[in-house]
Amino acid sequence: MHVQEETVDDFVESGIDPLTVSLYQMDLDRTQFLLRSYLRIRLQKIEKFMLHILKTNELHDRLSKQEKNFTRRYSDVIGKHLEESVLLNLPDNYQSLLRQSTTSEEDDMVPEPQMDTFVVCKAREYVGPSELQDSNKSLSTDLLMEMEPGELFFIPFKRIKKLLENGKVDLV
Amino acid sequence: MYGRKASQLVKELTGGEKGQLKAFNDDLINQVIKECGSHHVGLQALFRNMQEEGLDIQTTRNADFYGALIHHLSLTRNKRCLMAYMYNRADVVRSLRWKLGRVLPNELVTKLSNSEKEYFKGYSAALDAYMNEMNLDLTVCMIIVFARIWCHRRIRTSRLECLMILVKCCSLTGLPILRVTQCTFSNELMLNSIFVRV
Repeated sequence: MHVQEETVDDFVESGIDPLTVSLYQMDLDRTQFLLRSYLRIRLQKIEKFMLHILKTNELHDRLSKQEKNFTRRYSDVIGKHLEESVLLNLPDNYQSLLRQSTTSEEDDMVPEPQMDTFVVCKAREYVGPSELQDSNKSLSTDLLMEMEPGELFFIPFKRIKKLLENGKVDLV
Repeated sequence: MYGRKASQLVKELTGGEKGQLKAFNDDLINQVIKECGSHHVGLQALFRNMQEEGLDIQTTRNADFYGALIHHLSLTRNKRCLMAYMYNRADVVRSLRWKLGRVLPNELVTKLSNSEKEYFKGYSAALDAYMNEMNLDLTVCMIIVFARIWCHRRIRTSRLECLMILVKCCSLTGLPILRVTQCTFSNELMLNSIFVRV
């Protein structure tokens, strides 16, 4: 993006045809827009699942340094807000942000992304039945399905999670 | 009836337009919190009863235990409703920062509680710090424009000329072009009229 900005500046100075300049400027604007959209969506996801991300190291590591700083500041802000308005006024064992009460077995007040929702995806290369199985069930009892490249499928997200990370499958 | 006030709180969230805030219902919140307090008192009293009778709280299942359980479950439900109310309002407050910027109009500020005002400031500061570190303002260019150009059939214009008009239009308004859909030639409209859909 910096290179494009410099190119535009050079063109403006050298007085080249304004149309060409506008086209380059347009391309620059378009790139900027995409970059801003991308960063905005990442921030929205962080805000939505902040507590879950802070708890899960694997997810926390996916954030950039600036995003980690943002998450830390934001968690302080919202923690303070919720504690002062509500939590500290509740009886002793019920003051936690993460749990309904101290008798809960796990952090049941932390929202997590739904892994069971169905998504539409397309395979880039051939995917055999073994790669689609649910890891808890054996191959014979689970549904046997293969994915040919280019075909569209409607499938629960958790089945294709690993394939998505490996780049074999794309979400549509 | 236990939990009725908490239900009222949550219903306040759903009434009205999406993304619009009603005034912070301090009164109802305090009532629900007070109800939680009395549930807790009731719960402890019942457990004390059981202890005085020499029963083990962890394993005994008698009327007192189930009474205490109802108090506990009502308390946790009230807590969930309170948190849902605060959480959803906090979502709307955050969206206000994106829509309206750092300073909110007075009529909105009166609807927020003091804690929500502090939250807004804190969120704004965290967002500004992030944008400073990235050296990029994310609150601009949030909408995209789809433009379709109709050209009069009698005036023959090429695609390139249509594109030129589009570029001029975008440089005037400062909005980026993401995608150019077809330029159709029709009998009806004049050249240079561009219909813009946001």
